[in-house]
Amino acid sequence: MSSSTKFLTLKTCDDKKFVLDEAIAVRSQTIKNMVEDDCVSNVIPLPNVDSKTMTKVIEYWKKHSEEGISKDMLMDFDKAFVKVHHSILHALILAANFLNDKEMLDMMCQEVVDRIKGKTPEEIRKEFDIKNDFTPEEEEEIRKENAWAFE
Amino acid sequence: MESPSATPLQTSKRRAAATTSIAGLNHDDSVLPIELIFEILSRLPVKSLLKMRSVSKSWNSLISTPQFFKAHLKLSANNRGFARRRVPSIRSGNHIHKVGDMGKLENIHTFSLYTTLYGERPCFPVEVNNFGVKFEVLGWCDGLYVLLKIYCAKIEVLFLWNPSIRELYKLPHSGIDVRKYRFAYGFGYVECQNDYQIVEIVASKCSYLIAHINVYSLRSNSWKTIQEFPSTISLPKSVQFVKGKLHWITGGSDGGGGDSYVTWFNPGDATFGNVAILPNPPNSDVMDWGLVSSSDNLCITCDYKHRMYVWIMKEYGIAESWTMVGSMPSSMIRPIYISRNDEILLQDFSDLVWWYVSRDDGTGLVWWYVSRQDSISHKGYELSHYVDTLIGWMLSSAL
Repeated sequence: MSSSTKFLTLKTCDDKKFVLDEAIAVRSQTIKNMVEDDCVSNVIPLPNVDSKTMTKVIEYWKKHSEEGISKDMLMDFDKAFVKVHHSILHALILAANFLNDKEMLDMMCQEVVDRIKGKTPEEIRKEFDIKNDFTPEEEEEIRKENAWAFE
Repeated sequence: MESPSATPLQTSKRRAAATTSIAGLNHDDSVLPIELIFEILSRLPVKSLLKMRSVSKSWNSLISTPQFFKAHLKLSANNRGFARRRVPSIRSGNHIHKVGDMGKLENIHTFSLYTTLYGERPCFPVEVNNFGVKFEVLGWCDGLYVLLKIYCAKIEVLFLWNPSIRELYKLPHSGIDVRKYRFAYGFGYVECQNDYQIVEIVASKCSYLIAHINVYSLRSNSWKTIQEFPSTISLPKSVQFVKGKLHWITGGSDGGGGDSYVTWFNPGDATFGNVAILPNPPNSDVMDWGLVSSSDNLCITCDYKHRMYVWIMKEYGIAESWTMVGSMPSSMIRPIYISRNDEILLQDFSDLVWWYVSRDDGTGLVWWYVSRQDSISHKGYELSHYVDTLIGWMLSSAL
């Protein structure tokens, strides 16, 4: 059925275009819905995803769509795939969320979870760019309530 | 909403009520929107979450919402197999606790089946509470335990304990005189009321006939008494909470004579009923039936000719859906808990733990000895299925 292979063109927010086999692109529930609703014209705009992130997403999709790939090989691929700087990881989570790829989102979230498990609140704030809006007294109060968790 | 009378033993401070909904939370100017932060945090173990509360006000509020508690519990409890995960996680929900000293809660340990099975060090810290006093475990559900302490053989006090957050709450008294009656207890989640409830079945000391039934609601933190029930019901030996109802075996070998069946009581609307044990129980007079805790299904065992058969009712209330999921020599083993995909956790009479899976082709059995890494004495402990959860934190306002 290779003659009927359909290609979609995806356009990221920085105006880069990606041409992709529709069978692979529909790993994104968002794209799948657009295809099913027949509202795909020539180019699908992805206003929330930049080209650098989209390249990674497509790399993941292609690998996971490969025929005959073993579970172990996929596992090794996934392991290496998530070993990126946290800023890229966050961008991938936002992309997976926008594209609505639950499997990818799950994997990315799990990676963040594994990374933050052993970290202190201060380290977390830095990584997520969060401002500490507690007064020192308030923060101390919360810490005291479950002091054992900080041991 | 503050809970007026449930008193935490260990922390005297009540926390601010969790009335904020997720949508109403302020967004930090952080890199990820709050919905995704929710996704991520709901996968964290409780201990990390308690630390993460001090990251920011919005994280603290998020972690304290009832929606978050529920989502977190669902992920905790949802792991389908005991040991299928390649990546050990303390959130896997497949921990068991051990209670020392012949069922009295003196030491409690939780350890992960995965890590034990694969010979790794248990990754979950075993220190939970050191009460310094002895309790009896009356029931458990979703990582919550109902504990009983009897003072001077006269006054009994019930406690709700969540080992994940290390909090113990004294519950109000049901008003029962322990010198006059016998009791059976059940504890479980009643979905239609979004409430955890304790059922206290009270029977006369001489006749074993039920005098009345008390139901405690965690949501309202109060007891109500149910006076109307079938007069023929006698005090159950053991009970199991499934699908929001309390179940126990009636009739047959349990003393009632005739066929055995499972009786249920729904604390939500105070109704009773029966479930057929099997479509055609063979020689039911020689069967010894029992109930086993299961993730979501009614599960019975029958002891027949020195073998223990484990049956699961795949569709609740449909007698034809009883399915046998395993059999084992009953002289040495009793089932403790059955997972969603029919793996059976077993304890033998020398108190070792086993894990049982039927082979895919249905022909044979696979046995795993999961207790080999455990250095703690095996003598006299109880096992339960443990889930890492925040439920019970801030008690009634948390529901």
